[in-house]
Order: sequence, then C-alpha cells, then structure tokens
Amino acid sequence: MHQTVNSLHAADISPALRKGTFTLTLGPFAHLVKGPSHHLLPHLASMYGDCEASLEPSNVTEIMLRLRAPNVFRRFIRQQISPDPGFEVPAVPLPISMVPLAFEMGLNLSVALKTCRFVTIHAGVVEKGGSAIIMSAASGGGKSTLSAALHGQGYNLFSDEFALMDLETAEVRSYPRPISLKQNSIPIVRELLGPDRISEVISDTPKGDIAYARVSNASLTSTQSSAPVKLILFPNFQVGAQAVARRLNPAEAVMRLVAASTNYSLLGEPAYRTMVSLVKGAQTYEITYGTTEESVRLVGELFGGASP
Amino acid sequence: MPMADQVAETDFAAIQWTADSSSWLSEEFDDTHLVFFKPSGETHFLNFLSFGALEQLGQSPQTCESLRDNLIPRFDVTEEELPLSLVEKVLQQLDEAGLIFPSVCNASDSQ
Repeated sequence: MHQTVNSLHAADISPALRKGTFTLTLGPFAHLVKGPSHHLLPHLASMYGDCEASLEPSNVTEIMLRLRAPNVFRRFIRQQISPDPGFEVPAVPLPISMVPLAFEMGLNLSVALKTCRFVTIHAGVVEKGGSAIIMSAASGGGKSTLSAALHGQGYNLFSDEFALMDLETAEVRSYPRPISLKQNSIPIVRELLGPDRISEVISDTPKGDIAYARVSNASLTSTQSSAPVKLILFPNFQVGAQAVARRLNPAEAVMRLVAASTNYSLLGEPAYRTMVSLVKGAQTYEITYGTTEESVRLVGELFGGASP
Repeated sequence: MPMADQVAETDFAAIQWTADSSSWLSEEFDDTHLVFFKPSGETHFLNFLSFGALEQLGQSPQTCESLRDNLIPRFDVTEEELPLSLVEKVLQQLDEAGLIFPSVCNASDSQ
C-alpha cells in the first residue's frame, strides 16, 4: 500500500524536504521537491494530504523542483523564495510566506515547459462517466471557477491548469492538483465547495489575492487516470450575459488549442495529429454566460447531448 | 517610364508559383482545412479557395492566371466570381505564410 503525505510523519517529511528527497506522485508525474519545510509542509498537508508520497526519490522522477532563496542574504534577511525548476525562468522572488504560490508556480512551469510526453494545453479538465470536458480560456475567462463548480456538482477534477493529451491515444490524463483561485473567484468557490476545502488567502501577490481549493478525495483516488474527450469548451464569462453556446468549427477549435498549448511547436507533427484526433472525437463550443449556475446548467446540457 | 507598382504587378503576373505537396498534412472540417506545414512546424487554417490553390500548385507550377483558369472549373464558378485580383491576394497570403514559392527556372531555360 502506498504512503500518502498525511500518513507520513511531519518529523520525517521535514528533513526529506530539506534534503530534496521528498517525492510526491500525482497523475503521470513523480515530483522531487526540495524546499523550506516550515512553510511548505502545511500546504502539502492541506492540499495534497491524500496523494502518494515518499521520503526517498522514486526510480523515475520527471519533475525536480527546488524552492530556494534568490540569494544568500534573502535566506536570512526579509526572507524570500523563488521556484527553481532546473532551468532559467523569469520568476519574481516572493516573500517566504508565499511558499505555496512559489510551489504551485514551479510545478506549472515544469509541466508547461519540460513535458514532452503529452501535448500540454492550458485548460481545465473534468470527467464524468468515463468522458472528459476540456475548458480552455484566457486568464479571467472563468476557467477555474467553472472547473470548481462542475467539480462541486460531482464531476471528477482531472486538472485545473493543464489538459495533458496522450500522443498515442489523444485521451486526456488526470493531474488533479489544487484549483488555483484568484480575487473574485475565491468567495464564489468557497461557497460552492465549502470553506474547509479552501486554503488561507495569500494577499498582495503579483497576481493579486490567491487561494487554493483542495480536490476531492474521490478525484485523487479515482482509478480513471485517462479519458476520451467528449466536449471542448471555450468559456467566456461576461457580467449580465445570457447563457449561450455557439458551435465552433473543429479547425477553429484546433487553432485556439494550439494557441493555448505550451509545447505544440516543440512537438510538431505528433502534436498536430493528436489535436486532429482530439477534435474529431469531440464536440466544440464557445460558451458565454453571466452566472456560475447558468454555466453549470449549460455545460450539463451540452455534455448530456454530445455524442461520444 | 513605368511606375514601380506597375513593374511589380507585371512581375507578379509572370511568376510561376509552386508548392511541395509532400511538405504538408491536411484535414478538412466544414469546408475549411487545417494544414500542418512540416518545414516550419506551423499549423494554418485555410478556407476552401486557399486550400484549392495550394493543392493545384502542389500538382504543377502555375501563374496567377493559369491557376485561376484551373480553379474556375474546380469550384464551378465564373470569371466574375473569381477575379484575378482575388487569386493574386490568395497567392500573396500563401507566399507570406511560406506555403508556396516561385518556381526556379534554370539558366539554360532562361537563355
């Protein structure tokens, strides 16, 4: 039986985090993590408590993330932290209290820029009954709120951040990390999922106020690790708008997904073939809505009506 | 003395355009075409006219006028519906996207 973050003793995890041998396994990745345990451990315990974890590196580790001070002075004076995924990234150093943000940003950078096994698309993904919905939107388009709302309605959360498309099967892989919430979406999702699922708000970050929503245990432990995609949505939240869905030409949907992919150009032809397979098996819509309730109803109707 | 744009116009009309049909993958969706161009790794979204022109040029080099003459029966349209100016515009856009190029005449042909 696998050990989880919460089944391990904090007194054992702390030295493993300091040494950089702590391994968190989630979805298709084993993450080797090094960082300040005092600030990181509470985030891991509350958001990743039921995830498989180990105090030693696994045989194969794809993501190595260090959270470290940007220079020696910032280890001691007005402590700061930066994510170091093993390659140069233009990351602004953050106050040490923002370790959860640095950790999540570091994982996002690693998956977005180093993963070549999958076509990675910046999108939310939920699953129900063995079929998945991909939701791709620009920042502020309501992707995270919609993902959280559908998750609260019984959909499995596959991912809030990335659709990981298998290059062989064009199925989407599950990678259920916490849902990243910004500004106005925090109280909405707190209402939808309950306050015990929401982290403390981290204020005044470069992205404004940030909080994280814990994924349900059912999603974390689901045996459904991948699913064919039945619906591809491009959500667009507009205050006061009527809920409406517009069918998209699949070729136009591919062009939008290409723009939202972090590694399409790097992968080239296999990524193109995966995208074409993806849209051939799914229905594609742009949806506009003014309230979360309407968006959930509309997505439910489209999902129910979409043929597999 | 001819104006510069007149020279450019004359040159454009004389150019034989071509394309390498082995250099792309394509998929049709609702009268539009996705084209993955292998040399650049870029994906293009073409309407039926642009894709028709690309396919024609993949079969043999053609001038703007000869391409228009081949596209008219293909799409069952009239000369008025497919004016040379429209074909010219399509050729310019395909050229800018790097999908077609002027065919090269060797020295002995030009002498």
